[in-house]
Amino acid sequence: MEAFSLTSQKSHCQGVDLWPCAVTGAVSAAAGFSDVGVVLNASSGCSYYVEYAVPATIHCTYLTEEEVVFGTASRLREVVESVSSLYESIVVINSCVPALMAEDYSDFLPEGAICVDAPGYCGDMSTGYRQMIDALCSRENRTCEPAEGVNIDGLCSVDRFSPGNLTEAQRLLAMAEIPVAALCSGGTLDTLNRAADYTLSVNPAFASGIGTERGSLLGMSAMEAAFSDLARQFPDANVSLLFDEYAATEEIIIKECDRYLRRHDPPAVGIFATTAYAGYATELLSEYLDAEIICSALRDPASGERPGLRAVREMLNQETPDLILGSSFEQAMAPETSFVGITFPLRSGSVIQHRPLCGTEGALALTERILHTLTGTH
Amino acid sequence: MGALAVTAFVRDAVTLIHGPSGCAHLNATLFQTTLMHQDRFALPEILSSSMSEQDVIFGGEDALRTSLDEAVALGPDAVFVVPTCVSETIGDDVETICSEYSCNGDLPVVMVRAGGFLGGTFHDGFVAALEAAAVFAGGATGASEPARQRDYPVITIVGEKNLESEVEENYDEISRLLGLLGLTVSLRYVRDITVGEMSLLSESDLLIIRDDPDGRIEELCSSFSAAPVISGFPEGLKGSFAFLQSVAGCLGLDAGDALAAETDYQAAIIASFDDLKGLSIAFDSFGFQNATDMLFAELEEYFGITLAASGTPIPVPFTTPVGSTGLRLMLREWRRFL
Repeated sequence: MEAFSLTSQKSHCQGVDLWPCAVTGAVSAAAGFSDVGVVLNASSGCSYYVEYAVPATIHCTYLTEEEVVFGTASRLREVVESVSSLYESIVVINSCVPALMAEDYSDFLPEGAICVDAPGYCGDMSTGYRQMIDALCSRENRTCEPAEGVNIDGLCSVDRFSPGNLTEAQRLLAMAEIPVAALCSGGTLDTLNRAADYTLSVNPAFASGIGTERGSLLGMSAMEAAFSDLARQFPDANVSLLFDEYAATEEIIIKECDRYLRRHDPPAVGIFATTAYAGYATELLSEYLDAEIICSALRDPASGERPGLRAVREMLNQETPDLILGSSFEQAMAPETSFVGITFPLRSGSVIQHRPLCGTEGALALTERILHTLTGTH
Repeated sequence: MGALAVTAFVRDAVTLIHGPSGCAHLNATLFQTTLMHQDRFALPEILSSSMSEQDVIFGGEDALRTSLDEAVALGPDAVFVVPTCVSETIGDDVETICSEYSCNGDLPVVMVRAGGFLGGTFHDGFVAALEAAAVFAGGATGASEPARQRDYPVITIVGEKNLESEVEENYDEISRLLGLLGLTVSLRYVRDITVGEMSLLSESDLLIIRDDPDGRIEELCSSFSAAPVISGFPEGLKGSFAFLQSVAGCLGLDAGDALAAETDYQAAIIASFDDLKGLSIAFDSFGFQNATDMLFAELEEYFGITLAASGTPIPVPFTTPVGSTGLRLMLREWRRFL
């Protein structure tokens, strides 16, 4: 069966966009740094959504019609002044309407504060994320020598696997005796100023551009390649334990998948995720479960033309996968189909544990969830 | 969001959000999360004009027209167009474009006056959508059809809170109470109905509004029907009695048997919570939209539960429980804390 893939659909009316807009990405990027106070200059509707999507403290102006008529500065000033003493740095993020109004806030923003326009009409979550990191990096204006070690990139709190991915990346780097430098986004903002030259990504969907990326930890082969490369950059690194773990992990995955395949046909799968997670899941499913990916749609296609809810619904009406990897949107469209959530948004409560998707633990966790779901044992 | 809480529940209509795609996404995400609490997995047909930066600079009317062409091509019975903060700020003439489409074809294209936060609160958008949908009260063409002779009264529920978790339970309670009078609900305006079904609105013999804090929904009702209006779902035991009496009064029925049956029903509820008598609760009124002293007085009078600062803190429902059954469900939850 030929894979039904929607990556480029020219239509205004594809239905609801399945990926958040720039303001969510910008807030998520800034809120990842513990010493940054994020002030979202937006209406209560936008704020309510962003507070739902980003699990961090966000301060909002909750704009009303009055502020649109008379200006948002007074309200923004009030909020900034009430929180600025709590943080090292303040970041103001303008949603669509304040961005359109283009007011100048420089006379009351604290020194070093950054104001970023992240209107939804200018891009999606990944765009907003990158835009914010760029703004933070230019503020830091790197003056220190780069730190020893490796930066961990691709941390975005909207991604429910981000905390687990961070822990797994730290564990693997510790095992290889390679120090961790900056986190993006994570830790404190000043670490960006002394980021290392090398970067490992736990989720390339959120690339900060900090350091030179030496690969990702998504997938067994990617992980092996990344650490082989790092071993050349860090002669003192000890990757032998890590490669032992890699081999043992693959052995477990092969054994469990073979056990499944002795009793079942390979599954037909639909994957709806970012390019990075979709590629990772495709590799794992194809390599170890002989799965056929019969439909897929990317949240961040290179073309920029993302299939909307309507297009995905039509795809799922046309195809009947045994298993769907995606978000709660896909789960809602095919409630009878086995489902593993890997993509935002996920129904609240469905990912509470800080489980990773990256690294060896991530590969094991994903395999376990897939097998349990397919066999109906959870 | 308030507008969508109405228009998305017209089964054969589509809702087009005129704004950046993120606006539709955030509404749909919150919508979906809320509906999952009701175990509803099917997502309503919501479209977006996906305004780009280009559209914001040069005007989004072309994007709206393109999207409307595509929406119409889907073959719905109506299209609701909901502007957003962005399209309102840049001044797109959404109303004129909707009128053009309605005039040029058979398909009604209705603008809902709810432009994001420029359109007011959730409730403002909700009422605006009820107003917009009322164009179908006299039939899809807007012309009233002559009322048919019926051997039963047409009872319409207006403005159900489609996103509240207990929406179906509340409806069941109203149906139960009406059932005591031998009545049934004919139309739920607007919950899971079609455009055609809305024509029944003007034939209503009784309109029962879910909640009408500022009287605007009752005012709206008077624009399409001269039928009597009950302006809120009943609260608690006494509220249920009063509701039965009001419905019977409006329709000229004898409520005697219904009141007797309800008395028995309530007596069973009161007896089942005998173990709570003498206990105290501490209560934060946040969450109750219409917290009334009457409800607390009722809890004390019938159940012996008193309100005191030193009492056991109890979870607060977002809205006042509907009917006798709603009170029973609330007390069951409280029992675990008390």
